Amino acid sequence: MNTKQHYLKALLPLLKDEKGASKSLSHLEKVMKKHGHGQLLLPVLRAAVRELSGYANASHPRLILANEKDKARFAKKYKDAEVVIDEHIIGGYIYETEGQRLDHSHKTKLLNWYHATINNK
Amino acid sequence: MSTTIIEKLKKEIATLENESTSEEVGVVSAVFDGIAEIDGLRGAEMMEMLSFETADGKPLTDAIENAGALFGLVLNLEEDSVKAVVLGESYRVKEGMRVTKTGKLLSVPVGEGIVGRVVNTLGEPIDGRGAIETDTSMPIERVAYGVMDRSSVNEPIHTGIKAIDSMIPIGRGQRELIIGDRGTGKTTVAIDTIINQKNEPKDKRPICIYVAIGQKRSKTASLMAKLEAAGAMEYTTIVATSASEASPLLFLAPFAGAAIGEYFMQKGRDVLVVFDDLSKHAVAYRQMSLLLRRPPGREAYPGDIFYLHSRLLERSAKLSKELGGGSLTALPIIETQEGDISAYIPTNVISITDGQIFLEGDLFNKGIRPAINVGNSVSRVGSSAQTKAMKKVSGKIKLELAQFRELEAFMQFSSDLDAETKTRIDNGRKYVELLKQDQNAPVPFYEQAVSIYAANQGLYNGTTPENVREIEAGFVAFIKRDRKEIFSQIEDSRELSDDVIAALDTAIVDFKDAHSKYYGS
Repeated sequence: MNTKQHYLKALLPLLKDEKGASKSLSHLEKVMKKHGHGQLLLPVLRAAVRELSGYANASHPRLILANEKDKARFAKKYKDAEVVIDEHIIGGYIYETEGQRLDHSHKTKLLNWYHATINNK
Repeated sequence: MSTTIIEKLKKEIATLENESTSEEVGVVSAVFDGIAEIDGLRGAEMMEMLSFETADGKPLTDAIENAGALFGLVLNLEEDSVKAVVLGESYRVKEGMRVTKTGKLLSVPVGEGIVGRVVNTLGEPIDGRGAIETDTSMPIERVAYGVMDRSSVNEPIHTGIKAIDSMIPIGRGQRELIIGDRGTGKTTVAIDTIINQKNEPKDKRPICIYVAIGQKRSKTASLMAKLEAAGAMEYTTIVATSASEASPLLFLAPFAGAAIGEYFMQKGRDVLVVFDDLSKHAVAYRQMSLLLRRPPGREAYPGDIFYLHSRLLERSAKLSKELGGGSLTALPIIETQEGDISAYIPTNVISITDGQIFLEGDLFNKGIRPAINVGNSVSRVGSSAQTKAMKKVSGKIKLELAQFRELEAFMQFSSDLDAETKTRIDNGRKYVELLKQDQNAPVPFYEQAVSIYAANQGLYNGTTPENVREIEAGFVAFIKRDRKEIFSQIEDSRELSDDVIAALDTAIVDFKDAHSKYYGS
């Protein structure tokens, strides 16, 4: 784990407390500058935004399903993942973690077939 | 739904395997001015193409309606993110959008079908004539051929412009810069060169590629119309990027043109590529580099501005016989301000190319068109790239014009000069008139050789400089009508044999006898 990740791990629990979040952020800046890590402030904040917004390269895994019924089918395999329902994927699942994605959604398959057909491949 | 499509889908469904490969994905954290900042994608490579997942979060029907891949090109690799230029409508990119790596470098689709078409930087047709049949794709960025893969430049590419073909000859595989202020005829020289290739036999005719970088669409449209009217579009491809397009597309346009040219060069064909103009190209690259937060250098250009043009122009070559003997000739164009050829970008490109054709505003305004300053122009390949016919006649014209330039300052004292000096000045003025030419009226090399030979042999002795162009036109018409075997012999043999010289000497005497009205004194 590098310096940036250490700051991130320390910051995230503090940000979950809404009342103390802004105080924590201003303290973070002072602490980082005190340790000579001022340059890392922006990357740490961006990483925190990713984590809290649930972006694809957040460190915690996500499992995207088309409906609640699919939970029983797929959630067992990916127990550690946060389940998100997105009906647009039609069926199947998408598993994302740490900047990697496994896309077994029906929407992607149908789109690929569509492109392959119209491009006559 | 047709039977073919149903069969294709059946095949896909039957053979579908459950792929368990994952793909690396990044997320757009910011978009500005055609640049997307993407978090993640640690494995992305420089100049790799990225795909923006525009279908994310949309129903399938919307995704299909708005189908049309949107790609980006990685240009900055940073610790936690990459910066990519968006190759298309950047308004389609949203914050939070997923981005995947394609694992491919940017390439342009090429094939025989691209000749005669107008395309954009990505090789997509923009002339409204439907899809282009292509058989492969060529990488936009490519390392130039090495020394051992090349052979010497020894075959001419005729521009059809007398001043150039006689005194600044260009060879196939050479880089010859066309430089001058705005409105001095730089594009005209390039277009006339393309049109003149119609005079070449089909098997030796080069494929021409005109790369319009940041030009007005109206100008590109009128150029295309001129080429079509001259019948030149059948062997020409236009890569057009207008002034309203994003700077990354302007930056990539000349590389796309070079990539298309290399496809034909590798097949043993000769190719001519015009880059119009590299000044706008440098400005677009500067804009893009500043947006990518690259440190600015002199005149705010990035530090690798020289490398930008040197790696582009080094791709011109005359290949060895083992590699097919094809060639790629480059005519880059640079626009100067107030005739300043010592500015940053002009000096860079002058040092890269194998010579320059310098066009002057003063000459243009005096009516000397093409406004080529023969004294400052040079071709470093020289007479190696000239036919024997042109080599024979060009020596005297160079000498006469050089002497004329030295004596030109004394013209105002004409009454006080000796007879020999007056004759030199008079001859010089006649040669200057001889080298004038109408726009979009290139002259085949055999006509040029005859024209200049006749001048060297005294066709214009006893007449005034004002009559020179009329006499020249009359003499050429006389040869075409009554002595056309002279032209065909020179065209076939590419030299002035003793028989041809004898025939020309006789023709000159006969012409002078028949047109005594011009020879009063």
